[in-house]
Amino acid sequence: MNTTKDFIVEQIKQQISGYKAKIKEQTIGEVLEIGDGIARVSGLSDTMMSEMVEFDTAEGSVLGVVLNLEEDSAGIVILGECQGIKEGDKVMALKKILEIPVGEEMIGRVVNPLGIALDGKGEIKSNKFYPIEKIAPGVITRESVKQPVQTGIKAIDAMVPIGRGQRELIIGDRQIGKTAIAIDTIINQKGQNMKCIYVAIGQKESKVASIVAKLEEHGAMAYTSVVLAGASDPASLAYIAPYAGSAIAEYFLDKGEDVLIVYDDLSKHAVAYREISLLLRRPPGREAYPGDVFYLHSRLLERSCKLNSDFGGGSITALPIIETQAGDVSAYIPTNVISITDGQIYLEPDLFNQGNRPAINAGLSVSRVGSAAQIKAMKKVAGKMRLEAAQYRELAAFAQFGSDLDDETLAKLERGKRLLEIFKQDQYVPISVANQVLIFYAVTSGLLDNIPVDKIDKFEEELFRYATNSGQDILDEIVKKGELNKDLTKKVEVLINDFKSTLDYLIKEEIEENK
Amino acid sequence: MKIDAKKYAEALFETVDKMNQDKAGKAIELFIDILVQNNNLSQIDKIIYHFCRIWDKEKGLINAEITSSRPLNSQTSKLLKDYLLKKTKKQIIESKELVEADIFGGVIIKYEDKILDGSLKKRLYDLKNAIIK
Repeated sequence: MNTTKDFIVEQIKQQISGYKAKIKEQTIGEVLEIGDGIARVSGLSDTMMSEMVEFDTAEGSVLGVVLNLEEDSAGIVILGECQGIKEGDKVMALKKILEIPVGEEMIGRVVNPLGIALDGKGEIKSNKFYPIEKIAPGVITRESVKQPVQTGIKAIDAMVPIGRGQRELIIGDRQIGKTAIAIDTIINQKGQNMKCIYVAIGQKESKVASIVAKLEEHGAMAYTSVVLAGASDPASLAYIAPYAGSAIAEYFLDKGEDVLIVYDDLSKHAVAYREISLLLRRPPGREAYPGDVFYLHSRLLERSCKLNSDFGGGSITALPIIETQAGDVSAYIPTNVISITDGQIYLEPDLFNQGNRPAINAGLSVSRVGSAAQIKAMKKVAGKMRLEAAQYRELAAFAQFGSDLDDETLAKLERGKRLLEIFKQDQYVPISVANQVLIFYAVTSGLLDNIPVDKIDKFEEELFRYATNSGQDILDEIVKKGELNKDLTKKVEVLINDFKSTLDYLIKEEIEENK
Repeated sequence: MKIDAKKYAEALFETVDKMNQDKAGKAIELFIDILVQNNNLSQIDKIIYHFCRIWDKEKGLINAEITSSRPLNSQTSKLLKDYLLKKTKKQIIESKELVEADIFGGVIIKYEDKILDGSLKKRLYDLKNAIIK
């Protein structure tokens, strides 16, 4: 016992003797006025823009960040509770730009935008800090997007493929499944060598809790980190949340890894920024948003990128979410974000109510990266699918008026029905690429034409089960080769036909019953 | 045009600067008249605040506040003042000395919006943080 005690005492002595006290000159200010999470502070003569400051209050210290520098005062937003701060309180400049801890420690955790744990799993100890605001990688460091992000959602992977380093907007009304798409995508990243970051901005804490529980249930928290600025947090935290998420992503980017980041949602982010700007007395513009809302989102989304191999070859794929009001995509924020991103997934209430879920509108959804972000096999089977789906909807609307339709149109309608049926997918059941290739091959080659539309759902499910049981080698080959050559196409066709032969008696029976 | 407190203070400084006390007294009387005429007398506190700041800046004067745990002897006090003047490159120093026992030892110097905390309390606090890490 004695030795350990001596050892500890010795250690403490060593530490103390090794410690050198340094007196640093510090800049201080005094709170002139405070209210609505904004403080005006005098003094602080040599502070920088977006520098961190510390309010010294009776109830401990609170952080703030400098957003306005005026002739003899500074406008500061308070990152936390502003109840304890009084007029005349001391404010200390910390001489560093707003930064948060980053690193592997963030994975599997729920943190607030300042990097403080919210999940009760203990403090996050990281000695690496990244600035929250960072200029996006420049031209020479970048490369065109070419690897796919498999979302596991058939309609997206076939019609609006997303590539690593792309920014794909998810846009639609409330309660239409925007978050569901993002969460399914995160769940499907298991084993795909991808880190995921989910940034919840102004979301209900109950919703975030259920999302985290769902992610944990599917084992997705092993590679996911959640940044949460809840609905009850001040606007300042909502404002920095996406940048904080981006900073965490950039750590992995710098290590050459691929990251997927979901901003849920940027309309609430714009609202939080509007609140701060108006309180700082910046002049309002259209819809009362300040003049720099475009820059607010463009500088954020520009940070997602695909770096070339000289710069590590990492990527950040962004899935920003925008909530529209009654399907109005021509409002200020939606148009801004649509023009910044490399495409959008538009979710439509009509489709949703008809039971087509995910309710992706094939005509209005685009991916500007296109087929460069698909494996060759997928490109082959799903090449014209978006066009076909879009045409089907027009044709179906038109066909309602006329009863006399030629055979070609009828065939198109039948094909279209099956296509839409295939695009239906339940939540939390992402489908692997190989399985997707299988089912898309079945529909495009006409192998599904003799299956009744209401049986497609079941057919698909059983086909996947059949394929894993007796065609695993073919599935593996699709993934490995990435393309469908003649040989493989034949094998796939044989597999599907084999499966159909096991089913046929069922179908025949039913036909006879109907007779 | 509305004249703000700072402009008044600047104007006052420019008139009063380099005047002797008699003349300055008259100038101030006139200045107050103008304030009354413009209905700006309520701004007098702000004007005085800005005037002091302008005066200090132009004359190279600093206001410092030195806090120590025990009263300082004249030698230490002089040493500290000389150090401050050298550091800030100003000519005159107006200082106030405070005694606070709960800083344990050392001194805290405050001037303008800067603070130099050399108190024992602060050092012990820093040491505590360093050891926790």
